[in-house]
Amino acid sequence: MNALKNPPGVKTTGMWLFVLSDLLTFATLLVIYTALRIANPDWPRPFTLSPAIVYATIMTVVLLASSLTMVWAVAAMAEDDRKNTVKWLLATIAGGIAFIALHLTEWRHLVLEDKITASTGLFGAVFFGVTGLHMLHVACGAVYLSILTAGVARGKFSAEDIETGGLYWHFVDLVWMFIFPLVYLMAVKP
Amino acid sequence: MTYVKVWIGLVALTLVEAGLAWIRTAPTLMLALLLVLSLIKAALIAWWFMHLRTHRPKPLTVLIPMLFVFVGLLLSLLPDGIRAGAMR
Amino acid sequence: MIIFSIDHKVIGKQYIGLALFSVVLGTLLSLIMRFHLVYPDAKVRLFQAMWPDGAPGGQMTPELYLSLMTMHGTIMVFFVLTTAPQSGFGNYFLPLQIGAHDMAFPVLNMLSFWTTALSLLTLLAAFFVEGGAPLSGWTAYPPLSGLGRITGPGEGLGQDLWILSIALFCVASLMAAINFIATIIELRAPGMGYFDMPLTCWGWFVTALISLFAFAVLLAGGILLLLDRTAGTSFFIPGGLIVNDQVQSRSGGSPILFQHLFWFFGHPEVYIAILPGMGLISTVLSVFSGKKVFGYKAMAIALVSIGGLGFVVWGHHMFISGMSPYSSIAFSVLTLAVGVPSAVKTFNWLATLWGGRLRFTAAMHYALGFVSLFITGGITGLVLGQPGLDVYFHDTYFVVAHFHLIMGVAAIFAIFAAFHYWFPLMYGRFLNERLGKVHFFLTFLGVYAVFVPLHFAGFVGNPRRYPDFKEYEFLKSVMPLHIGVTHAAYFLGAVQLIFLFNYFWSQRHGAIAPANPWNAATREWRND
Repeated sequence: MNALKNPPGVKTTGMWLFVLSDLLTFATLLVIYTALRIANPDWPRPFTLSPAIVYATIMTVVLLASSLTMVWAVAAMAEDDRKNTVKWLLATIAGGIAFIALHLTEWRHLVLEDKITASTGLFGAVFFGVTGLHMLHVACGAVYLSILTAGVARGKFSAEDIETGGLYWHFVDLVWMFIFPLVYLMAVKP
Repeated sequence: MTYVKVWIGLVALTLVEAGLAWIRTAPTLMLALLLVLSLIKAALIAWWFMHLRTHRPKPLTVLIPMLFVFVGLLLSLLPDGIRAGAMR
Repeated sequence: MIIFSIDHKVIGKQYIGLALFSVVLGTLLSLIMRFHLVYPDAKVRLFQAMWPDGAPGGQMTPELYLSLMTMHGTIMVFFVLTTAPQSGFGNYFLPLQIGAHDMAFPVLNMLSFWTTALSLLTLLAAFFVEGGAPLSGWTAYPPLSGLGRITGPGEGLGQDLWILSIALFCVASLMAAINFIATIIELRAPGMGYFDMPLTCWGWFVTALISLFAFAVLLAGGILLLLDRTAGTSFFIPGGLIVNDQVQSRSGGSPILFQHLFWFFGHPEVYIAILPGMGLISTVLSVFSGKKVFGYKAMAIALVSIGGLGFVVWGHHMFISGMSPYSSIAFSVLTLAVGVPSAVKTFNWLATLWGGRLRFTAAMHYALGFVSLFITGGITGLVLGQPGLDVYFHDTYFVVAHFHLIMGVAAIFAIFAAFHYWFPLMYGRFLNERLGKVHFFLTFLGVYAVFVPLHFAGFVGNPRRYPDFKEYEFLKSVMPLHIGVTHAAYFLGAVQLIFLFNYFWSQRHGAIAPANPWNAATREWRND
């Protein structure tokens, strides 16, 4: 429709704006968590070191690893190496799916074994609220990257598109860097 | 290769965080340490993985500090949290 | 593909159409409310036909009144004041004014409009579900809004739909904000610096920045409130709550936290409504004075500082909520500080007029009306910014009068000015000038006749959100005042038909406009 196209960098700017806005949404949730926790001195701390924290650490490493493959995908696309881009993108999506699978297993364990759900108290509310929103972001990211992968394989999309997708994926990773210590580590059994 | 080094650093910091929980650091000290470590990790991701180091859209120099200001403003909710606890 | 168009002009017009539909609906709701306040015992067959549960036998229930109030506020704030000046006119004229070929992300732009439309439909659906529309006002404070059906008829599915609608609106506004900011930062014509942009663009820019962060916080609040309602969490539900003689089992949350989150968004939202208008008025005043805007740079900086201060004054909505009194002092001082950039703007508008060769077109009339309303409504803001006075005034009609004048009517006047000013570009024809001026004078008279008396009702301590005053001895004295206000509101509502007629008639039959009919200097009038 428009003969004129945007100069390079516009998409990156747009994605950064989204990232900043969404970071504030997550920050708000974490601030609410903090305020509620201050208001409730008897805040439960149900996590055991093993398996709960070990498990969560593995999840963190998996997510970090998917960020690393994403960086390689972006780098490959910058050199117009579509074959390797697709390879690393697929690896990233696999990492994301693995993270979700691990996460759901953990949720299942909490609900079935520890009898903690969103409605059993504020700990469950915060835990499932915050990690649920994050998991939604990972799932959206997996869909987003799948669309990119399919496009790259068919010769569509530019290096900037992959860079933009990478920004989103790293942002999801970055948010987890705050959720892991605040939601998990600060709730280890004393 | 730099990316791998950064990644190793991130994993190492994660293990340090988990280690803090392992040795049962006192909660307040642990919170402070965790926040510092998390900020370092976030900065590493933003600086290297999100390419802030090489490609920095101009508005970010203003908007990123703004984000910190907003989070700081939100922290003004905490005193009311303390009072809510006292009223319980 | 005219419906899912990705052309910024079409999307702008779609937004304006959506806002026009909403404003008609919102106005009708307010007229019904005004009628009920004066004739609380009237049995109206129409009400029964429209709301069989809310008005059995035609007699309106207090719950129905509250739900009308909620819908009036929500529709007006979100779907009129937020969409028309920013997304409507902004979409249409921002790319033209900065010399861009379109918005930065046309598809995102289309999506953002249709998400807004979906959000409006979701909101309106609340009227038709069991229990009807929610009762909790546009602020939706918990616990009233957090517990579900037990707190009132509209608090079941109606409130769920309301929250869903607002969450969708948040998403749509984030998309729009990203688009506006990216466009202004990246797509300005070569050589155009930030301080070369027209003040209208500054208004849209600052508004978009506010949206980007304010809606993010509201989104978080909305998500948590929705979880409270659907997942049984208790973020905002305190312990030991008794509703309708039933003890609620949930505990640990704090309703004050929601108020903080809401007003962290809510106060900037007020500026989202008014800042685009301020930018536009600066342009219109300067064009029809035949002078440059007085103190351009000060005007731009004032816009930025109003936007910035907007984020640090939210506590003045909560002076009576049980907030820490020390915070109240800080919020009060900061609130009064907003008066400084506002005064800079007002005096610069007056100085722009000074010594100019004024042309009293219809658009100029509305611009002058805007300045008048801005001062009237702004002065009472200084009154309400002081905790000592606010404690008395907060839940009275004084606040209603204040925010309707400054946030509602002033912003609407800016929209009228925008229609008259830009109509030649949008449709190639003029809006009828004479009808415009008649409409201006009648509307100007009408709004002051409606809202000035409400200040006095506030002095008496007349509480707002009450559906029926006749039970209260001390309100007997203000009933004549309310009867006057209601009739003024009928008059004001009827007068708007002139504008609607003018708007639709002039699209086909208005006088043909030449290129740049107003001798404006900004880029959108250039023929290239």
